[in-house]
Amino acid sequence: MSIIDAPASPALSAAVTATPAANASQSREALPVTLEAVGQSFGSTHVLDGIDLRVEAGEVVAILGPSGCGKSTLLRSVAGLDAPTRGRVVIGESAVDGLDPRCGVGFQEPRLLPWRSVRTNVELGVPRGTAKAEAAERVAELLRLVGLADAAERRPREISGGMAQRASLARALSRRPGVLLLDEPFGALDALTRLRMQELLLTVHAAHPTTVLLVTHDVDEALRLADRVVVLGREAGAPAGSPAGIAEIHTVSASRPRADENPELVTLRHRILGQLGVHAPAAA
Amino acid sequence: MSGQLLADPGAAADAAARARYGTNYVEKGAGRLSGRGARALLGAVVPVTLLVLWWLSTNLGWVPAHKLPTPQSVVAAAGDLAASGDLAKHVGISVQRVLVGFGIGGALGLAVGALVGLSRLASELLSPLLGALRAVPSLAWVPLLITWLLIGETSKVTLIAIGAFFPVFTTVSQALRHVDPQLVEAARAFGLRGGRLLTTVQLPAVVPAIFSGLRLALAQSWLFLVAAELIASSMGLGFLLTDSQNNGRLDRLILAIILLAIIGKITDTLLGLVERWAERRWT
Repeated sequence: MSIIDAPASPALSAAVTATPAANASQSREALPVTLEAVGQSFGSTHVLDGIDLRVEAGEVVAILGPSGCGKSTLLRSVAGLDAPTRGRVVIGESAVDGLDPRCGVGFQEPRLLPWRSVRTNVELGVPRGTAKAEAAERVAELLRLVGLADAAERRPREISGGMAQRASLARALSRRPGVLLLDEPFGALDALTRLRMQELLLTVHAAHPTTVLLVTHDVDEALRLADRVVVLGREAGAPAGSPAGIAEIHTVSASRPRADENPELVTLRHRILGQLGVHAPAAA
Repeated sequence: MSGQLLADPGAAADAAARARYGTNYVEKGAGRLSGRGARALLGAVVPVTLLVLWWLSTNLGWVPAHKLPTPQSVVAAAGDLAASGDLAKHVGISVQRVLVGFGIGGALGLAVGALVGLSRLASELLSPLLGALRAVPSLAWVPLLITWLLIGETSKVTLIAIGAFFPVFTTVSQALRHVDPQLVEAARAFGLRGGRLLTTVQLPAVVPAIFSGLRLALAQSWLFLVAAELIASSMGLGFLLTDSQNNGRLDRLILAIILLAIIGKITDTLLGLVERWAERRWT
């Protein structure tokens, strides 16, 4: 009896006990992410320290901060790409230990294999053991969702940077990730394409309401997309070289789609830019 | 949407086509065939001139026949050997030895090259030894191989495999160390590891290096073939060389050299065609 009553959330059992066959037929649920006193050092360089954060299942959280403050480092520790030096990351109810199959990662660069078509690059994300027909259907659906159905057979060098990032997003989603981790995915794109991609991300999130952690250096992007904005930074007056922590967490409650001139966003933008050391003239 | 996002589909398609067909893309169409024909013609100028000079110098008595036989006598020697079936026998066995030795050596070079290129431990264990063995001149292996494997096909094929092994091993192990780490990390993040990571990302990424190694290996195979056949054999083009020298058949000796040049060039061209196909497929 006690075995049957083992305390496991539905999300956890789906993630941990799913056999390949079961995995193929069910969509993985969004999973909560908890960072417990996470710190990261590389040799004598202390990048992050004392990060405590709980991200609810299905929530979109943006991580903002000056460049070099450890935003990407934080994301990599959630993905299991780098193990944190201190503390731990918990997804669902089990700690991250090594590359985590419950995460889908979108990197700043598309990182597509140049010798594969867009379709077969997206297929790369589908977990092993997924039935062939199921995998093909999932990939086709995602390609439609990100608007690449017509470019499916093209090679990465034959498509634009924005298309490549959409392929990268589809590849991350093809894992049916419990947590989608995006590391400045639109940072290298032109302003217009970036706006379209942000819109696309909201559409994708509506279709696949997974938990999203989005690293960005763009305050407006964070405000348009996120439920909460986590600002990383060093404490005021801390000596140079000391690790960054969470400076503040802002909740954005405006409903989407959000207009940049929404008063809540205007106020938050002013405050966040101030925290990042940019003192813009206040809106009239 | 995709159409809108791609700033200039025409330019992109053009760039893609150029990438696919190489710089020849611009000349594609009516000009291409005549361009190729002109190149072939130009390439034939020097060999034909040499042939004419050879014909003149031998037939007009500028060079004595015991130093250089006439072209006609070389052709006649080819005709005699072909009629008796010896020519096919010599060429056949040599080609067979090269193909088998090259296949074995190339495959081993790929496997050991992958191991040493990807595993630090394997590299530290094997690199010093393999580096030293590579420095051993080909002929130095012959007495040992004959002692161990006797004068048969095995000793010759083994020698050729040794010759084919090192170029492939060196280029593949070097190239695997420089595969784009971002691609490898992305693939690992998507659950690829071990053999699947190797065949999905790492090997395709080093296809150009594999082929430059294979082409060097093929040239080495012919080199080692002649080394093996010169010393211990009763058939093959290398045997034809020594046998002709011993019998003073300069016409056959020159025939053997010409055959080695032609067959070597043909095998290299065939491999080059496979290389072009593979590079289109994997890059």
